[in-house]
Amino acid sequence: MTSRTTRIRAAAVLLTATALTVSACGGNDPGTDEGAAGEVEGSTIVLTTITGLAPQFEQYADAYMDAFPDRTVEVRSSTDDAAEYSQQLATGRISGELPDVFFNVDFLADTLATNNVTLDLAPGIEEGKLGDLRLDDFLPQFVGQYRPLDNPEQVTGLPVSADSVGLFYNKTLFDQYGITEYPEADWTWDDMLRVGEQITTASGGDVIGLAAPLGSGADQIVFGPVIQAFGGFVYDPDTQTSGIGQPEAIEAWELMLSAFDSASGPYTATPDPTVNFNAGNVAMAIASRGGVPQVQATLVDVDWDVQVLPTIDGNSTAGGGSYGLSIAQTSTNQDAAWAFLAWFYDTDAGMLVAQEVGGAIPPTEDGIDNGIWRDVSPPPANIAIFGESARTAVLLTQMPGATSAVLTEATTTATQQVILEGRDVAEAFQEAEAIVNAALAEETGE
Amino acid sequence: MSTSPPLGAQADAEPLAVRPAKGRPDPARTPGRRRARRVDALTAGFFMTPALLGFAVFVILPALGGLVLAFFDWDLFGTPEFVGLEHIQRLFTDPVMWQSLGVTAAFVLLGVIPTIAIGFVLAVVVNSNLPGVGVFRVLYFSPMVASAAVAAVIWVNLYRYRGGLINQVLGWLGITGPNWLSDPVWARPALVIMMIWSALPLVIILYLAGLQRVPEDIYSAAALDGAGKWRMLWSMTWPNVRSTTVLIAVLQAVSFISGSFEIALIMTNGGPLGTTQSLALYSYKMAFSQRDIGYASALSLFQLVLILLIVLGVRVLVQLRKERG
Repeated sequence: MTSRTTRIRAAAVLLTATALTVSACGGNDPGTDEGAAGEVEGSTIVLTTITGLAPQFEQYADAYMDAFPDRTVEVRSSTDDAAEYSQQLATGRISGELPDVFFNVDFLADTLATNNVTLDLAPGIEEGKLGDLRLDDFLPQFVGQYRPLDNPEQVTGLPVSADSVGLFYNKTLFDQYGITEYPEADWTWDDMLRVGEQITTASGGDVIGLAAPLGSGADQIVFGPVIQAFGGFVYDPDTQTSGIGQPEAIEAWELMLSAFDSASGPYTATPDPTVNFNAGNVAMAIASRGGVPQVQATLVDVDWDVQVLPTIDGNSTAGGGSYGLSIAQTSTNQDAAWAFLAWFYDTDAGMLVAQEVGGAIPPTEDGIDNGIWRDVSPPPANIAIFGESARTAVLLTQMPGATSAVLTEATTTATQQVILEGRDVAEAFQEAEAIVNAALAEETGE
Repeated sequence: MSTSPPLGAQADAEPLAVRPAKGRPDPARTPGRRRARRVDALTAGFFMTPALLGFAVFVILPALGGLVLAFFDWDLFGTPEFVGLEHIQRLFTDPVMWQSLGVTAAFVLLGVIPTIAIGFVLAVVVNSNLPGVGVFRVLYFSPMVASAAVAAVIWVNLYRYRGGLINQVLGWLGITGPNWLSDPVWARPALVIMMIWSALPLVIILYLAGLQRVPEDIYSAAALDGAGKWRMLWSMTWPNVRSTTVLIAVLQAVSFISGSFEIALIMTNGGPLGTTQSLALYSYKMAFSQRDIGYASALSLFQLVLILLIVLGVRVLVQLRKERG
C-alpha cells in the first residue's frame, strides 16, 4: 500500500469517526423527542434510583404492585456517585433510553430541566394528576429546588423527604468524660465549639468532641446556612454572583475553620469512616435526619440523641434538602408514571410506606405535623426537632450548569490553603470567590 | 581468559536469516507454500476479525470520537458546539493543567525507577533457589489479584492518621507518623509507594521471563573468571535483561501517567491542594464533575501526545544505541 493510500484511508476513518461522534452527540436534539401518555392499566414503568436508595424503592414498588396488580414498576439501581449518575442520565438521553421515573437532585435539577430531560410537572399537578395534592401543599423551599432558574414557574421534580440537619450527640461519651452540659435548643455555635473542645481535651484526643463541621471544605449543607446566618450569601440568583469571599462570609469561614485541631482534630482531605458518629468515637456531629436509621442500627448500646443546630445571632443554621422524583420528557408511559407518583405522594399510601421503610418526612405541612415518622422508638428521643428544622432549613443554593462543582472545588481548596498552608482566611476565600464568579460568568455568558 | 562473546549480545541478538543456496528454488516461494501461507493468513484473519472489530468499535472509534470532542463545547446533555482550537489554547493558560502535568511528571519520576529497581531485585530473588522462596513466589503475585479500587481502599486504611497500621508501627518506634493522605508533603510519596506496590507483580513476571533467556553458560564462564555474585548480577544479569528493562520502563511510564487516575481518585481525590491530581484525574473531574467534556477531551488529547512522545523517544534511544553497536 502506498503512503498516499494510507493517508487517504486514515483520513476517511477519522472523518467517519467524527461524523459518528457528532451525530451521536447532536442527534438527540433537545426538544425533538416527544413522550406519550400511554396506558395506565397493564403498564410497565422503569424507575431508576441511586444504589443506596434501591432497597427502599424496591419495597415501594412492591407495595404499589400489591395495590395495583396489573401495573408493574421495574426498579433499576444506578450508582451513588453524583458524577457517574449524571453521566448515566446523559447516556440515557443520547440513546433514548431514559427511565420513565428517576431520582433527581438539587444540583442537577437545573441542568436536566434546561436540556429538556425532565418533564414540567406543574401543569399535570394543576390538572389533578396527583389527586387532591397541589403544589401549595408541599413546603415551598423544597419544591423550589426543582424550579429551573430560568423558568421558575415550572417544577421538574417533587421532593421525597423534608430532610434537614441536626446536632447528633453521644450522651455516653459526654458522661464518660465528665461533661454534664448536653446540647440545648438555645445553644450558639460558640457553645458547641467550646464543649467539643472540652471533650477532645478530656479524652486526650481519643474521642473527637465535634466532627469537623466543614468536612473537607465542601459541605455546603453546613457552610451555606452559617454564611447566611452571618448575613452573607453563597449564590445570589439576581446578580448571578457568589459571595463566599465577602466580609460576612469570611466571619463564617473563620468560625467554622476554628473547629479544626481544637474540637475536631486534624483536617482530613477525604472522609475518614473511623472518625464518624456511627463509629462511636465522636461526641457531636452535624448530620442529616436521613442518617437516623443507620445510627440506630450501629450505636445499639449507646445513649444518644439529637438537638436543633445551634444558632448564630439568633439565626438558625440548619441546612436541608431533598432528593426528588422526576418524569422523563421522553417517557412513553407518562400517565403510568403519574399514576405511580399519585400513589407515592398519597399520605395514606406511598408516603406511609416511605415513612415506615425509609423514615421519610413527608415534604408537606400535613405530613410534617401528622406523619408517622415521629413515632420511632428512641433513641433519638428528640426526633421531633426535625419537623421544625425542615420548616426553617436553609436549602442548598441552586446554581446554573455545573458551577456548583466549581464551588465545591474552590471551597475545598481554600479550606486546605488555610489549614495546611496557614494562608489568610480572607485571601483564600476571596480567591475562591473569584474562581466561582469566573465560572458563573462563563456559564451565564455575562 | 574466557573466549565468550560479549555479554548481553546473545540474549538481544536477532535470529540469523536462513537463505536458500544459490541456484535452488526458495521453498517459501513454491506454489504449494504460497497456498499454505494464504490459508494460514485467511485462518488468522478469521480468528482475529471478531476481536479486531470489537476493538475498533468499542475502543478505536470512541477514542477518535473523544479526540474530536476536544474541538467542541459539550456539557453531556445539550448539543455539541464547535469551538475550534479554543480548548487547545486554554490548555496552555490553565494553571491547574500545569500543576497536574507537574504531578504526573513527579509520579513518573518517583515511580518508574524504583519500580524497575525493586522489581528486578525481587525477580532475581524469585528466580533463585533460596529457602522459602516458594512462599515468596505466591506472595509477590498477590497485588495483582486485588483490583485497583480494593487495593486503594486497603492502603487508605493503612495510611490512616488515627489507627492506621503504618502510624501504629511508627508509634512503636517512637515516631509520630504524619497525616499521610492529607499532608501536602507526604500525600504524593504515599500514593507512589502504593502504585509501585501494585505495579510489582507485572514487572517481576516480565523480568522473570527476561531472566529465563539469560544463558547459564555465561555465569559458569564468569565463575571461572572469579566473578562474585554481586559482580555477576550487575555486569551480566542486568545487561542481559536490558531489552526487558526498556519494555518495563515504557509500560510503567505509561502506567504512572494514566493508571495513577483511579488510585488518586479513591485515595485522595487529587488533594490535598492538588498535590496528587494527575492529568488523567483532572481530565476526569472536568468531564464528569464540571461536565466540560470538550476541555476534558483536550486534556486527554494532550496526555495522549505525551505518551506518544515518551514511546517514540524510547524507540529513538534504543535505535541509536543499536546503531552504535
